[in-house]
Amino acid sequence: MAEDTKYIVAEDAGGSMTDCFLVDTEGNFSTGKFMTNPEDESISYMGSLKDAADRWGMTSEQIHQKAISCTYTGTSMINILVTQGGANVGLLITRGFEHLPIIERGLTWIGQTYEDILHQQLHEHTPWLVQPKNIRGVSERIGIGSYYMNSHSFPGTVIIPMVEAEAYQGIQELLDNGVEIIACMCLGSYTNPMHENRMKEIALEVIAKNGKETPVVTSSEMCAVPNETERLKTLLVQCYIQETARKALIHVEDSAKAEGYQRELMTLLGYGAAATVRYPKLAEAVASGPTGGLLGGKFLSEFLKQPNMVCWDLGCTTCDIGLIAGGLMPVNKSPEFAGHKVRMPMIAIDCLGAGCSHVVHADAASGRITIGPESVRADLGTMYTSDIVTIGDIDLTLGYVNPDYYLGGTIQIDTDRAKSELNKQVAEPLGQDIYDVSLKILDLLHAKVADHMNGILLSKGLNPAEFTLLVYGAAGPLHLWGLDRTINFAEVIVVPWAAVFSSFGVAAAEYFHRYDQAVTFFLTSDMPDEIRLMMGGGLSQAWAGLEERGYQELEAEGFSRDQVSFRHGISCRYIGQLSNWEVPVEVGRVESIDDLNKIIGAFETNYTNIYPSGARFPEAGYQITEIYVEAAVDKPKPIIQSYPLQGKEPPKEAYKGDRKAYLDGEWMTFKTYEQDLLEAGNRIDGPAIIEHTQTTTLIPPQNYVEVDEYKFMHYRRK
Amino acid sequence: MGICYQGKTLKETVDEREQLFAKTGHAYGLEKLDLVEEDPATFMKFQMRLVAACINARETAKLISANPMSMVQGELLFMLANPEGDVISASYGLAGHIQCMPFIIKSIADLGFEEDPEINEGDIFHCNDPMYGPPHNADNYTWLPIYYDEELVGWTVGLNHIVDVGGIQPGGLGTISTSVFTDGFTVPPTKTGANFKQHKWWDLHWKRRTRTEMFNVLDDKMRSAGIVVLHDRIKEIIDEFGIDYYRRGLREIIERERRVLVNRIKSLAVPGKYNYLHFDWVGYKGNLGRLWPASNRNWMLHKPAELNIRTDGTLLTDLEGLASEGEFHCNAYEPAVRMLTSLGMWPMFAYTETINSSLLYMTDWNIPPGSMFNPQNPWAGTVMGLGLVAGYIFIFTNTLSYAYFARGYLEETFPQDASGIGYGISGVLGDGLQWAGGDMGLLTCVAEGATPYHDGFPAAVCSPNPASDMGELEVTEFLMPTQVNIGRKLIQDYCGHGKFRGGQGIGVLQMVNQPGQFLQIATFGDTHGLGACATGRSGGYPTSNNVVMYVHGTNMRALLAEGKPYPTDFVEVQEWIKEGTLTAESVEIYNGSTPTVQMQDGDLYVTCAGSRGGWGDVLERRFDLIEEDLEYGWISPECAKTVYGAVTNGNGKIDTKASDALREQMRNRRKERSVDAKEWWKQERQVVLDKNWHEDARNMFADASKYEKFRKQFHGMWQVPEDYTL
Repeated sequence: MAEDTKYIVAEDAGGSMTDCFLVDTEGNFSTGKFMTNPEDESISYMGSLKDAADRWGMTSEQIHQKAISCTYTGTSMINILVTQGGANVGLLITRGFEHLPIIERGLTWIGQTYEDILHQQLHEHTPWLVQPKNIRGVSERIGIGSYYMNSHSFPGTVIIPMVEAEAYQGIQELLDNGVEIIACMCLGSYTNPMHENRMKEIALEVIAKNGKETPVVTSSEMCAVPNETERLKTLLVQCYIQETARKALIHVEDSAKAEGYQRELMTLLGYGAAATVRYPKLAEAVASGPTGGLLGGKFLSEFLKQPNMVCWDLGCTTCDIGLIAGGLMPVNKSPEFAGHKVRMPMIAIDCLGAGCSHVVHADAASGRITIGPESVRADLGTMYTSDIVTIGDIDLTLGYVNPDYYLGGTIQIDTDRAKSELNKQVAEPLGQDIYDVSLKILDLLHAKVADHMNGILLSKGLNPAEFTLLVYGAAGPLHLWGLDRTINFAEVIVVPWAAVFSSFGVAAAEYFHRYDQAVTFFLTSDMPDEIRLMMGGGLSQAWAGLEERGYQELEAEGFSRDQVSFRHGISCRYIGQLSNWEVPVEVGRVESIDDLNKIIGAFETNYTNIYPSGARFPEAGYQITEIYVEAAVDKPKPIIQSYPLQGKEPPKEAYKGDRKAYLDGEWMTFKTYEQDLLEAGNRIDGPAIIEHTQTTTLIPPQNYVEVDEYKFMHYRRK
Repeated sequence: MGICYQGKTLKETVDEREQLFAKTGHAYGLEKLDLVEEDPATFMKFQMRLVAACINARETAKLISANPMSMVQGELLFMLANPEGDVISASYGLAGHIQCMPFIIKSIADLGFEEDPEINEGDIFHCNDPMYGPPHNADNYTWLPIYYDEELVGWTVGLNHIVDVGGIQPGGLGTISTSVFTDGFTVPPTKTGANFKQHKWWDLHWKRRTRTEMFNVLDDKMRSAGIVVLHDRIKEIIDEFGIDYYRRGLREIIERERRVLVNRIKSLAVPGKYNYLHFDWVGYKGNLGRLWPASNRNWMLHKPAELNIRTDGTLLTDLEGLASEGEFHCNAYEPAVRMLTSLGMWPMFAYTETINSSLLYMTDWNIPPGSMFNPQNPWAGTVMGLGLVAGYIFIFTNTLSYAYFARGYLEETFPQDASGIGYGISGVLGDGLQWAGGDMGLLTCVAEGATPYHDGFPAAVCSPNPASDMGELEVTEFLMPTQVNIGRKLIQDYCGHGKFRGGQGIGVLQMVNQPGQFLQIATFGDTHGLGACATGRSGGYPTSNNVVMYVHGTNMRALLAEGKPYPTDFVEVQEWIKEGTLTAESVEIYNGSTPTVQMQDGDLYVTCAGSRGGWGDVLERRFDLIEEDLEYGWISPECAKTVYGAVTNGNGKIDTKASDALREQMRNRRKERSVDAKEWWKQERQVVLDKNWHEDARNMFADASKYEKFRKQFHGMWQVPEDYTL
């Protein structure tokens, strides 16, 4: 490699493996894997990088010294929540709401299946992020304004002045209890943060008097948007995990720096941005786990100029579905993870219980068959160390998977056991032929995924035929045939590094910060233009305020103002509705009625894409409820290498022989190929199986695969 | 030529459903499930597709709504029914409401809708009239026929609970109504739209006949949008599987699921007769004066039930002895009983990924004609009969808990009691703007009852909506700006105590802020001062009653202006009034539903509900659990001592020696206070002979005496003379 070659390192740590995607400035890439070490993530970070560097005959030092960016998304945040190893948090909250973190709105069922939701015996609250003894109330109330607009009080009105003595006393008591961080939360603070800000001032004063340096965070700093339970949960998650997690990330950074890496380590935020590990609102990284893959999808969507993409990640325990529509990734503003519901923007990703390690149950009495929700995870199935049959056992029994090449042959699996257990646990109780019923269970799995995918598209008014399906994860390529039979996509693509695709996405992440702000602007048809323009002026001002925050934070991170660019958006609804719909807007300032019409037009277009025209309600007028600004700067990104096109015929050495597999009710002969040996321009006609050390692609007789100049496989119908 | 399969009319098809079941004991006479048996995996795929279609319709449509009850608190459901009205699949949401659909379809079949007004492709129908199937007029059903090759093959249905029904009180949970004429906007089955769109005149009804026009119009748009989306999707599924498969598949789903439910009961419960008794009280006296003389009285309502768990796994619930119908808001029809009581069955044995109306095929009911849940007066008021049915949800959670406990399934027990509060509100703001609203946060999230092995969690479950959710105050305050919340918290000691205690209830305190010209609130509560259904289990204490306080003419504004703190719950309000910190011109306290009450600026609206009963003797509670309760503040040291016999030392720890001694004393005191059963019977018998009861109780017994079964039990118990009458 050339002397001036530089490197981009990206790692994605999952619960079991840490994946590395290493790419140089010419677009050459290498991948690595290492067992995740939750106790010391620097070990698995280095292990995975060494694995990738080793394939190039290099050392991790050589890479680090010439690395222009290292991005690492870890598991420490989720671990802190799961092991309850977070900070000792103190909470100052509006008097009367001291139990809000315990009541948590009654959301005891988040993440459960519908059957378990109905079976209420199974409902439990999440573990407390703040102990009751560390909560103090302060008398105060800020009014949040009203649906009845100027017939009642305006947003942000002080209804009950703050009783400061309670704040002084509360803070002192919390410090005496030994809290490590103090959270401040007032109802309605998103309309006016004055009470929260004053609480913080008082806290800092008392902390200083005590000679301490306890950090203080307010809810409006975290997310100045409504819904008190979700905002409080966001604040508490931040306080509970942030500093512990930051320590773990800086520890990883230290290990990279010790080898000569000269920049800051970056991590991934839930809304898909990269940020340095010193970013103040680090809690936004808490559920960034599955976002990596989608960012990879976004990158490819731009690269291939295909703005509509459904990204499907199927692994052992994951089945994640994400969407890129019109080049944008929809954002979920109240996402859920580990039983918590928070209020922070996160790329919308739906997780289904439908991976290859998900168990298959058959009930003889009723003929009911269920997949999941339990997964045997790394036990894989009865072919390995599980006693319950899984989807993986079916894949093996039907001959789709090569038993001697599982994870490149590093794992010994038992086909006979899988088959006999499948017979005993499923086929016999149902009185069915083992192969027929197995195939139909896969149908059931594919229908489950397809229905969910359709639901995601349909609820946004989108048509699958205008979308490219991007398939990745260890098991995605193996099951894409079933999905393709159920939904007509414009195109189905598998990339060569499908099994470590999430870490590729981490490398592709853009560097930006996102700021959300609740606002209240009404626009009704009977409003005179002056008033409408006044509302527009307010909108401009609010955007400008967020831009300023973006400038300041990015300046603190070492960027100059001229490097920063902004994107703007609103959340809007018909007056009276409770939900709002987020849309990006072209204009970041309102200077004319035309600008205002463009903004409302963006909302209307989005709304009518989703709903029948009967659901429109423009006569009620519009309410803009939130705005956002994304402040972005440039960051090095991976390059995709292209290869000279060869003939359609694959090279002889790629052909691995024939294998029988059961499909469409019969045993047929599949030609098998080694994926890494296929060349750009090759065409593989089904029935065929393409094998890779980490994944397998199945091609039925009706289909074929074309390898393009980037070695992406295009799955097509004959 | 009818619109259904093989040219049958809707009425013939609906009647056949009943006949086939009566004849064979199997839904649609299906003794064999051919599709399931031939190919269970494909069948499962078919069924899951139908479920996904409903879920997707709900997720798409729900966002249109303005109504927090639909949006946040889940009072919203989309479903697919077969031509006969059986619900085959449904979205997440208010699961119970599916039970009503067969009744609604039977109504339109019997009414001859097929001829007039005709049932054509794209027609939209609506109904919220309890006489024809919906449980109460707040629950609005909108539905659309599905035609395939000119054959009616099903219905897509949207349902939600609306905020205001236009009754004599604001809101959707009326507490006073003498007849259907005061219930509000009650619509019998009506064709309200065509070509997949509602008619414009229909919006006018929401505008003119209800107080919350905007919410109700948007809700209507939401329901009709959802059923159109679902309709189109179902037709795609028919294309995929073929009409013959679809037609038979829908019926096999019901029969198959019926078998699943029956098997659950067989494998979990000890069969037999389980008795359950619930009381309610309704107070109208003085509220209506001479306007409605027949309603100017109070009622104590006798609500017995006998659950028969049959050896074949089916259930018969006998309500003989139930209070008579009356000129009050509490009447209900069979669909309401079926609908609401199913909420007690979902967690106990009917939990499944695929809810449907198969429950109707394994649960029989005896609801005597002339009783409040089978009224014969066609104009019976029903606006909140559902609230009174609520006590019967707990027949199933409580008696089945015993039936499972007896068989050793401790983890499956789920004892629950009624204890929730909702309110409706309306007013005129300072500039003359009329408005209305309501909230059910204290109904849609309550504590869990104690089980035989652990304490109930607070704010954890909800009978009406399994996805419990109190909602966000920053949403409800925006819609009801006069209600400034200054407390929403767990209340110390407020739970059913026991060896394991029920979860604590939640107290809410609102200060009235700038109501303008006029403001009124009507509160629905379901303990009615009796807490009779909240029995507690195996010696555990019953749950606490609802508390509703209206505190008028306070000095709150002055207190706040002086920079003083405010009270946050009903306990503090009472203490502060006693101390004199808080002054009030008058205080109204209720332990359940209240009449409509007018409020002024600075008044306090104080509610508390949602606790649950205990399991086992308080004196057997482990000391470490009591220490934990004390540490977190869930109980007071006073309660630890007087209720649990646990004495604390200075550092919050239990002094076990002193506590053992105290418990011994308490046991002795119990013995001292106990009376020989024979003696007790004699004393009580004398009361019976003298008819020495409160007027309401005497009226209740007199009413119940019309039932042979009650008379026999009553006479048998008290050995009264043959000619004894009430």
